[in-house]
Amino acid sequence: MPVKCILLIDDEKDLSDVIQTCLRKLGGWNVLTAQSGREGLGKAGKEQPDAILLDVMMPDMDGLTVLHNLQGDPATQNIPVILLTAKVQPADQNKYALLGVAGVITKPFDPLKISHQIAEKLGWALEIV
Amino acid sequence: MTQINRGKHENTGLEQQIQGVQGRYEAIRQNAENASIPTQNLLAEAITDLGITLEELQVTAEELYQQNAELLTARQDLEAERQRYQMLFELAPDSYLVTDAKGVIQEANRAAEILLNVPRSLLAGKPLVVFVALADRPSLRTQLAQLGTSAFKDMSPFRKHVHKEQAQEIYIQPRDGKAFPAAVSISVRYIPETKKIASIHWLIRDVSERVQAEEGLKRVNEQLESRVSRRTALLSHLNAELQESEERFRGAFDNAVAGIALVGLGGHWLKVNPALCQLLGYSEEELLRLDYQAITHQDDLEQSLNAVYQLLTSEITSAQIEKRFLHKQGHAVWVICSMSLVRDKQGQPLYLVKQIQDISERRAMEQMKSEFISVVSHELRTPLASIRGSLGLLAAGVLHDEPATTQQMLDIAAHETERLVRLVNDILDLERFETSKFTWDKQWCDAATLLQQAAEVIKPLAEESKITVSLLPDTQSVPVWADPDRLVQVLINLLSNAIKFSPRESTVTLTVQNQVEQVLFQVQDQGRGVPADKVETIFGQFQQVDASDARDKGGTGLGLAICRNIVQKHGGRIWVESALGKGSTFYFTLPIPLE
Repeated sequence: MPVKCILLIDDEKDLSDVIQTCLRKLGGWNVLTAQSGREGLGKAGKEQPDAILLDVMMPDMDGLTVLHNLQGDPATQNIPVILLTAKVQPADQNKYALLGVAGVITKPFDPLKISHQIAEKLGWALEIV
Repeated sequence: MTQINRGKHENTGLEQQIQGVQGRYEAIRQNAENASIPTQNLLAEAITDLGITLEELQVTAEELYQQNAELLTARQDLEAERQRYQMLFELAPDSYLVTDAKGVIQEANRAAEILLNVPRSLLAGKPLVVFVALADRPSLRTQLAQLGTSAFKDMSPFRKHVHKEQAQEIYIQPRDGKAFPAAVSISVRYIPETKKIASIHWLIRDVSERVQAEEGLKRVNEQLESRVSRRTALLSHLNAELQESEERFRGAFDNAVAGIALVGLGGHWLKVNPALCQLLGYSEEELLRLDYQAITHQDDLEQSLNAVYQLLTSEITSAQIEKRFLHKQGHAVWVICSMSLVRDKQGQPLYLVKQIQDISERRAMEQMKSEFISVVSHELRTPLASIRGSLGLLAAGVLHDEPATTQQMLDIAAHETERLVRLVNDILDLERFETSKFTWDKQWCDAATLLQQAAEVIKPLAEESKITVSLLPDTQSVPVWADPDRLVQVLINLLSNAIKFSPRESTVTLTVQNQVEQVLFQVQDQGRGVPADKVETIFGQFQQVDASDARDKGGTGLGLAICRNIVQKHGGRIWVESALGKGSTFYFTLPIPLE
């Protein structure tokens, strides 16, 4: 079975490095990273990842705009998206649930569990390395 | 003996006399027949004449008898009539008195006896005036005097001997009793030949009950009039109160701060007050041509109609909803709309009363607060996520075979911890400055010295970026009334920003200038500049020119907000003048106190 590939779109360089390490070490997945929404849209279309982990709050193009573009592009509309957000208010959570995403993970996350959370939301079998 | 009996007796005497004469005639005629004297013829003639006379006498006697019988009948009729009148007089229900011309009582009937409470035997001979109340006596005396002099010519044409006076009302004073009102009718009998008064007939009727009834009626009438008067006054008062109430209502309606409206069941505006017109931007005429639905935000229409439905079905008696109206200029206006339904006496719904309160500011504040919490939450959670993630991986030992990644995670943890510390400090500073408990240690200090202190603190950052920090003037002392630590904090924040956004090997100039009433500070850089639409907002919390500045430049997004807070707490003002690509100059002033 080929190794799953996840595209991580987050403008926070440090956090992106940490998540990348978590997914690589504990999920056994390949991780592509993008530092902005625009970069993420380009990589999603080009690399066709198995899933996208998308930060909501980003400058220039925020995560919801990126999601809208992903869902509007036939090349990326079938790629499952998990939102990564520091917003934890119920109104925000309810809003995200209506967006057609595979799931929402809130910051700060447990680095040892984030891979399990992603696998569960995507229905993947976790391959512990 | 009565007249009739006397007539009978007289007739009988006459008959006896006639019979006596007849006897003597028979005796004379017998004697004449028996005599034999020569005068016999003369005697016979005399006797014959006597016989004839006797017969005539008998005829006359008979006629007299018949006349006497007729007279007797007439007398009997007269007596019967007199008795009837006497009975009528006696049994009359009203008091009847007969007086002479001077008013002295001659006769009184039984009713008068009772009315005046005096036996008839004692009434006769007494002046009627003594049975009249004192107040009415003078007028009665006058009336009697006038009757004596005037009235014959006014006699009734039908009863020539009777003069009738108008009925009048006087107060009768009975013996040992209380005076009472009486209706008195007076008839005067005259002697036609002498034209003198024969008698005066007084018909007196007690009218106490009628007068009482009249007085009662009068009292009732007065009470009624009084009640009508009071009622009229009450109505007038109520009318005035109603008018006043209407004026108060109109005043309250027109001058209310909140919008008030009456809305028909179909949603059309029936009445709107000036506050509502102002809130929605329409004139009264324009608003009355619209309906409620037309200017309700589409997303809030269902909620509004549902509330009205619940009022109409009596599920609720009043409703309060937060909703948006559409301003005439198109933007939404948030309001609290309180409504209740007015029904008629039969319970049929008439119209809705709505009070509409502008909550735009509150909603904006809530929105701002929510956004601030959201931003703070994000700003705190993001470095925390990095720290927790990196340390979590290290602690779990999953990186033991990757020393480079281990070091990277340690660096991330340290770096993000620093960021978190700065952020927490800035948030706490802002919070501290806002509270009244914070003590501002204001004192006279030398601004030039404070500039040097700030420049010294910022020197490593400036050297790292090869930025020159220039102080002007470099020696002049400028006294300033300030909390020195906080003032240095402002200067460091401004210098730090200037250095971060300036190109390498450029100059940041720090100037202080003593003006007449204030001290002016300037921090000038040669950086990228601030866009015109940001020159105000950058002093807000988490309002960087670029959202990535917080990460790239190591800022928290709170530095300028803290600067503004400190300057304002000193009574000063802070602003920026900038040209994109050429640089910015941040200014702030501190007032010089008079003492």
